[in-house]
Amino acid sequence: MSATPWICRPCLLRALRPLRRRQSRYQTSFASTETLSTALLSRARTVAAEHDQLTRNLADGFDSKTAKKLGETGPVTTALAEWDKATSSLSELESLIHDPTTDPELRELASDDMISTADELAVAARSLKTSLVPKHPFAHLSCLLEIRPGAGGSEAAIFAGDLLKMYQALCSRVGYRTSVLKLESADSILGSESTLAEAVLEIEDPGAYGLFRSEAGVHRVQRVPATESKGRVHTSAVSVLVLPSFPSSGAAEEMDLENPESDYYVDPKEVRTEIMRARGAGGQHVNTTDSAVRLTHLPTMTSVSMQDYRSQPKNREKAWQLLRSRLAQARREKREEEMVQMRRNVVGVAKMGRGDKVRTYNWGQQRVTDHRSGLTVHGLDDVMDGGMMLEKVMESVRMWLTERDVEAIVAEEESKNGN
Amino acid sequence: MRWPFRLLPLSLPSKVEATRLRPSSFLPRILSRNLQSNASNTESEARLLERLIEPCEDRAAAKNELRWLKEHVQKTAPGDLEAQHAMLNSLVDERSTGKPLQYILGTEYFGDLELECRPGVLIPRQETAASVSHLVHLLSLAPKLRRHLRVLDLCTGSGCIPLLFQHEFTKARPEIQLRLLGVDISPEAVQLARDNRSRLLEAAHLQLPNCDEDQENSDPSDIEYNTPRRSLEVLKTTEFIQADVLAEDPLLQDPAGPKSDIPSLEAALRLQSTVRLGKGRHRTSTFHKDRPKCWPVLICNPPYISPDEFVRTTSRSVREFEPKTALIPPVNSQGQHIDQADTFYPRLLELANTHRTMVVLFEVADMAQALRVAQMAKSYRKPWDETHATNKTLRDSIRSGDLWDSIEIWRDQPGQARENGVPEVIDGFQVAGRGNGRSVVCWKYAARRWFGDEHPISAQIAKIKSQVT
Repeated sequence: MSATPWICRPCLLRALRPLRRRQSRYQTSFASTETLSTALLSRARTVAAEHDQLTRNLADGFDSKTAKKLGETGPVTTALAEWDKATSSLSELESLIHDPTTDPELRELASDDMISTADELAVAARSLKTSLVPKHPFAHLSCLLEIRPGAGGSEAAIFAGDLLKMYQALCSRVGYRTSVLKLESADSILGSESTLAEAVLEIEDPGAYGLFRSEAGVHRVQRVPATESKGRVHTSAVSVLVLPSFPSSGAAEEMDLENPESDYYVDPKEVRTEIMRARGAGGQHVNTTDSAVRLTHLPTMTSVSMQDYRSQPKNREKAWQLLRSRLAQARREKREEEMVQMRRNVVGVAKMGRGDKVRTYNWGQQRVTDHRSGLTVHGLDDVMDGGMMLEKVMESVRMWLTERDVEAIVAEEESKNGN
Repeated sequence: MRWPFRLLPLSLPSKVEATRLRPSSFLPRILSRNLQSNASNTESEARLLERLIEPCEDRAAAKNELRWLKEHVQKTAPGDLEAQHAMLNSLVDERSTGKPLQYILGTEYFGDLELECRPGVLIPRQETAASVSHLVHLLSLAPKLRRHLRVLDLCTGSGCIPLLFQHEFTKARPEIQLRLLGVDISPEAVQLARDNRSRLLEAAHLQLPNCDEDQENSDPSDIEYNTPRRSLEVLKTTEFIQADVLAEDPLLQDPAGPKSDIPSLEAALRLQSTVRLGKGRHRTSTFHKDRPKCWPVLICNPPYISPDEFVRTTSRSVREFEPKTALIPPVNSQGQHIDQADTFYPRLLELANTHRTMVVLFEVADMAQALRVAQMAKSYRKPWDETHATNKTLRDSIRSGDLWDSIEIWRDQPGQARENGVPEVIDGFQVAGRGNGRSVVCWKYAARRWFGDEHPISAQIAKIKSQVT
């Protein structure tokens, strides 16, 4: 009798088949981290010089603005110092090795050292890169997550509900405070939160925008929908919009709510407030519970309506919050678009608009693939329950975004030098 | 009479049918789990919603109401799903008879405030809140208000107007001491208003936990006033009393005339001031030290629906569930030439005169009534006045405060500018805002001084607003 159990042939073949095919699905991969372009280096030198200048200025007299700037440039300067150290020791070792007069024993030691120094250099280069990437200006804010079904009818609406639950689960697991600002279920099934026409989830913790901004885009789902009777796999899409949420007035100083130059500024005169009240006599004649408020920003015709709260002032306040966020996001996107246009002439940085799909949830293969970072994970259930897997995917996208930012800086720096 | 148009139970729309599919076995685990738990809920909720559509008159409103009912149920019976379900069912039953949601939930939002409401007392209306807020906003812009401001609200109902006035005015001008008095003919209303006051008082106490008795008894002029402290103090002196606004002052009344159990406004005010002064513990309050007959601000949302309109234009939940005394004024006893809907207004103007009122705000039903009331105010004279022969005597008369200096009509949203930006004037009266004609606001000449100089009120307010922005 044979000691090995019988294994069917297909299984055996599958076990032997390499995983190479999955690798080929990757659309992007991380840029190599070891090399550091001259453009980046020159940028870093400029920043470091500025840092020194600031330090000298600060010695003369304290100024909170300078101190803040100093704090921002600090990491670049330290990273650059590390990198310089590693580079000089590397070149020293190299010259030692190439010097024919060197003692053979010493040469051996030097070549051993060389390996570890090269590693150090790579680490220093990487940290220099990340330190050069400016922090996203909204990263410290809390955020609004808007989920809307796209193509795919009621299946998309159901998946939109699933996504909402996924993010809620993630937040409750990580310990973020969330509140549903707006929840509109699709008309067919009422009240049940599994189908959505639109939902706005507010994640109230500071820094949430920095964490969740990687989620913006079109999320694609491939599965047999609940509404499908013949068992065919459908592909539907849900769009997720991530907006930074601005405090209504509390931190106005920092946010520049009153400053017309700022992205957050909305001129109240340009906003039409409509109270969608029952038609007819009003007053004592009716006792309507209608507390809906609609704000329309006239120059852009951006309109926000809110009716979730019984109190009209509360609806108005929340509508203002949402309107302000949307407008600021639109303005920022417009500016970025211009920047991207400019950069595209220099290098072909692929623009990641919200039209492109960013992630696929495939039920048949129980996998989730992010098309930006190229990461595929297989714990679909864990992802949908907002588990560690989801965090892993989000982390990979954040890494990818950083890489894009580095590329952008390089492009900018090169175009500057070119001119 | 029962409502004749009881809708037959509707069959569910086909879209709902389509989504009630059985979870198939080939579906992944999560999806089928979600579907099973949702399928039955969905069905019963759709049925609840269908029942709410009739009283709410539209689907979006019904959805909102269902959600609020659900939230209410979840709050009252947390955790117990069975009880929640049964409760929700019975509440929807109640609502489908047309009973106002505010009575079912027991509260309504009036401006920022959540106030209690009960059957037997009129539910506060959002339009009223808009008018009151706008008046408060204008007054809070006045740089030269006196340190004390006394506000009288007649037909106060749930007490919403004085309470909102306090809330918003104290927020803007904590340095000014408000005195608020609400009057209503119905004992239920007075009780509810007092309950609402205590409710806010509790909240104010929570805001200001370390306000001990020592500080209260020290000289009030020493204390630096901030909003929570002032709120607490104003709420403590805010009172609600029962009186009949329409009844003649018994001192002027024919002694042989009919007597009522409910005191007239004048009698109630006199009684209240003597009683309060008689008790030692109230002596520290300065509430009645200054002339008790002087009420610079008079607000009233009187019953203003004629019996005819009551049948034709009110909604069913108003007609069948809200108190008629708060909606239909009694038949006018003074003259046949006055509409029954307008019964209160001549009397209110008279009270404004005897109480040396500087500004009045009266809510009205629509533009037609607003114009009638504005006309009444314009032609109002003290009964013993001679007709004014010349412009000079007219001017003197305005200055001395016998006549209204400026009369405005406000629409539902008085703060909003018109679409085309052109100021609106109807029959010589300035009209502000958007929506239906909602209230009449009259200023005395003396009120000009509140805003700094001798220009007309509206011009001064516009000037102040432009300075602010």
